[in-house]
Amino acid sequence: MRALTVRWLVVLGIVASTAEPGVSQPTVTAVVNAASFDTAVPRGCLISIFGAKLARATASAASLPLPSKLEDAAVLVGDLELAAPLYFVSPTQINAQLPFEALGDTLSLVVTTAEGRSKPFLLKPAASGPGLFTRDSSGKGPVLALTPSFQLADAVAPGQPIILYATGLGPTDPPVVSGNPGATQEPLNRVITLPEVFAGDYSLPAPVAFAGLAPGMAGVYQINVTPQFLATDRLYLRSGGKLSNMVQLPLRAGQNVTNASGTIEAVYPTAQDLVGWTPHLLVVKFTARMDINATAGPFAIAAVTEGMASSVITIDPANGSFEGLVPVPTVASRNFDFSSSRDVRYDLFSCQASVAGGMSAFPFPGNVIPLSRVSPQEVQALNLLPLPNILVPGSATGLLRVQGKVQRGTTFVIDGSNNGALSVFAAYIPVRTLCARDQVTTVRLIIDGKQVASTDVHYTAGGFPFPGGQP
Amino acid sequence: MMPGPVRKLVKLAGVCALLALPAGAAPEIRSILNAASYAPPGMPNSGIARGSIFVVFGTELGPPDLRQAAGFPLPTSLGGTSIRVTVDTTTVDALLVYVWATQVAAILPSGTPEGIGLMEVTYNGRRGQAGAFRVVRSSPGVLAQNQAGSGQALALNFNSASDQPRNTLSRPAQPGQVVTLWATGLGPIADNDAIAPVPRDLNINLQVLVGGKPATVRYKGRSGCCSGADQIVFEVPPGVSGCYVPVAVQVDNAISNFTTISVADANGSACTDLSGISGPMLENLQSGGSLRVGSIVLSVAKSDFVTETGIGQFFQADLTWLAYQVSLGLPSPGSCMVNPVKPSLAVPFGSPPPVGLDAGRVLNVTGPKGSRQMLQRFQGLYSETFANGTLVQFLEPGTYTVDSAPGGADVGPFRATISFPAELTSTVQQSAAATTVNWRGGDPGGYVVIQGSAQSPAGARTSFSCVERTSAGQFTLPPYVLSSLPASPGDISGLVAAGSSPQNRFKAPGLDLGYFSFCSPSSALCSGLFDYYWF
Repeated sequence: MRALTVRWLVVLGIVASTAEPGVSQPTVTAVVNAASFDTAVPRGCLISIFGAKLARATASAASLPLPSKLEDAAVLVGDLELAAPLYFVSPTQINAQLPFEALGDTLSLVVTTAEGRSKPFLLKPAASGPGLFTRDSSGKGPVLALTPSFQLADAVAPGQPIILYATGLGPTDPPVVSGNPGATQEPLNRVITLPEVFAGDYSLPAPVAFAGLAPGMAGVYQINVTPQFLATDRLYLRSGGKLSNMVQLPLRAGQNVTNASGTIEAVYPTAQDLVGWTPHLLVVKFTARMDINATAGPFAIAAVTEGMASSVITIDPANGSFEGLVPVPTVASRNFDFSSSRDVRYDLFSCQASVAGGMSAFPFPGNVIPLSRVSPQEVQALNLLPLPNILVPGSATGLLRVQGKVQRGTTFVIDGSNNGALSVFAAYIPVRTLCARDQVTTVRLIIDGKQVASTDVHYTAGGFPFPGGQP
Repeated sequence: MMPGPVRKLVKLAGVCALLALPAGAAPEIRSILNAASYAPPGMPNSGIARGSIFVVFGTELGPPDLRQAAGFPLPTSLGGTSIRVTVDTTTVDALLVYVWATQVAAILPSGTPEGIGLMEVTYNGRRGQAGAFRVVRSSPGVLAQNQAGSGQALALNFNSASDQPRNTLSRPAQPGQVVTLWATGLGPIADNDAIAPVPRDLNINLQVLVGGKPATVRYKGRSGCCSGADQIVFEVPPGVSGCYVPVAVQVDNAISNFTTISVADANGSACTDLSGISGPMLENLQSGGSLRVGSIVLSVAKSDFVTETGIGQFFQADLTWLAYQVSLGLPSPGSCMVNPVKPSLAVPFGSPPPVGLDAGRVLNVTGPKGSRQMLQRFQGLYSETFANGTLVQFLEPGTYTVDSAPGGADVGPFRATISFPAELTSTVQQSAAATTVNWRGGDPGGYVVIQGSAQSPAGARTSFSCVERTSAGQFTLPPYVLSSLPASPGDISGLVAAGSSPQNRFKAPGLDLGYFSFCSPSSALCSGLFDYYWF
């Protein structure tokens, strides 16, 4: 079990193998969920601590329970200065587990080395903070999914069981002491709050057969799940009302079309726009073209973003019909009134250095954005979009349902002249790093399980250059 | 090797009916606190003493309805709840006092080793994630009447063995009188904590500070009634009086929460707050009553221009408005409160406005530069800007009189007088060992308030208020206050306030209290009773 554990720790990116010399007193600049890189971290979560001079050299845990010291580095949490279990230390990054046992509304985090102690980094433990591990440990892109035989799942089809790895899913029953691995036999350490797994832009969560601490691993949770429908490759968790990072599930391409192609164009924002608020508007135009096979079954065309909204068109050639659900802004959000939206809008012109490190910005009063924060290009882009005919409670976007006819053995086209209502949509894109100036988000076009187009949208966010305060 | 759940998944793949169910609710500990002080994590006194009563807050800790231990011996399992504490390799069972879904009270056995403890709560067979806390020998907590560790102490005035009324604002102790405090956390006992305790003086180094003065302690040990509950019997030191006299208990270096008792004035049976309000009046306010109050403030504000104004407010006010206007609840002179009732710097949103009182059409202000008038703008509100310019034109140093003749429908005619005191200037000396405030000027018959706050590296924050007579000229934060703050003296921030009342009160027909005060040019903030100066 230990060999397997260490192998997968490397895969998860919790341990790494770079070495840098370190000197002098440590400095902590950020503490994030080790899987999602989100700043909301609950107790028991694996965390990544970033900073400088955090350890003399690189070292990884070699055994379980996890050690409280690696090289000369230790992480002390809370007023009791509980030693956090350590997976990996290096001069610029430490991967550790936020102890379950640390109580308090605010927890201090201090890194100690032979050279001294860092200043306390204060964090407020989140009630929930799920994060999915990805293949490249970046928190985005292809998710780390395994088959039931523990092989990388490279081509997942609907109905195929897979194993996902996550952190931040909270306490388990029976509980474990921080730093200790999950049990390898019953009673396994099942989560108390079962996460929902949303895969493939299917409206219902996928059936979860097991969610709990991964046997033989500390702070890493295993989720055994079977996606039922995969219109897209998008995958995320919801646990305790909190969403995880949005990741990609490698899909098995379908056999329903040939000669699939397409293009994607970001109408807004573009490199010339200055985005003044977040989560901000993304307006996308795309084209798609494919030859539907004579024996084609149901398949999907999807233009996906990194936000919650994506445009999904389900094609049912056997019945001769298609239906598209196109996300478009509601009337209120076209007027920049997000008071009925769940997501808080932040004024990027108010960006300033946070006391706890990193950057912070103020939310707009009432979640309404003043016109002074709206660019003219944004208004023009909104004018391209039709109104929704389906409202989604708590969302800034509704859905425009578009239905039509389609036949096997024909060419199906979406562009400005054919099925034009399907060719433009909008989404609200969360900023991964608040107040970061140069931003990029990716939009992808997937036809029958195969990505046919992708584009990176670059733009400038915030009222910079004013990192220290008001512009 | 394949972990168990995956094997099961493969075996039953395709059986959609097989869905994982959540493990179900298990106990979750949110906090572990001294049952009397409620000192939060990060505070110097947040440790749990051996043999003391503690409370656990959380979810799924016990049954939905409160269950209490029926008697001695105290159980280790009650209503399906049990608590296990492990320190190093030693594990003990806590003795349960009461259990409830969101709160459990229990006694940490005296035999528990000291150090970092891990507490696990089990309810109906489900064991929750452990919570860490510090087990200490002593961590005194004084029971408060609000059952949250602040405000008035749960103290009894000893008149005789059969007559020991609770100390309240209307039943103050007399100087020199014996008072009994209820507490927990004085320290371990040699007996079994589960059985009825034997009152026995604990051999500990205990000090009771009353109004900042050490009191003679007659008894310190378990009560005869209740396991884990301590009693401290002491004599009120001479020279201490007030409605909010701070009381703190120190065992070795551990300081309790700060509570208050009321002590009668030397020549009377009632206590009086610094605002001049008597104990019975305060108690009436706490019960929802109101007072008819008048407040006249003359103010000189200097920035690029000098603005001289006068404001008079006459109103029937409740506790909230009075706390805002006259800084109720400050400690007695020469003492400090930690986590005190702070002066409200703004009326809480949603509070109803006070009822204005008509004190006449105009208030006539007379001083060295002649007379001016303050007109009634609304019922009970008088205001006037006397001058705007680069120099003081009207409110020069001197004596001022306000005359309301012929008075109004609610407040009869009155004359109030004030002599502007020399402007108060202060300096603060902070070092690693001490914080001392020195000042000059101010009303020699008034008081100076020193307020500040400190934040621990772990984020815990607390504040303090100290009061000294202006004539003293300086005040050094006492060691027991510094020991109660979660930061070193050099990390304290705060402000100093100079008060000109209560000597400048006036009387008027139809008023319970009248204040006439002056706000000096260097005030950072000016209320009806105190000017504040940042340091």
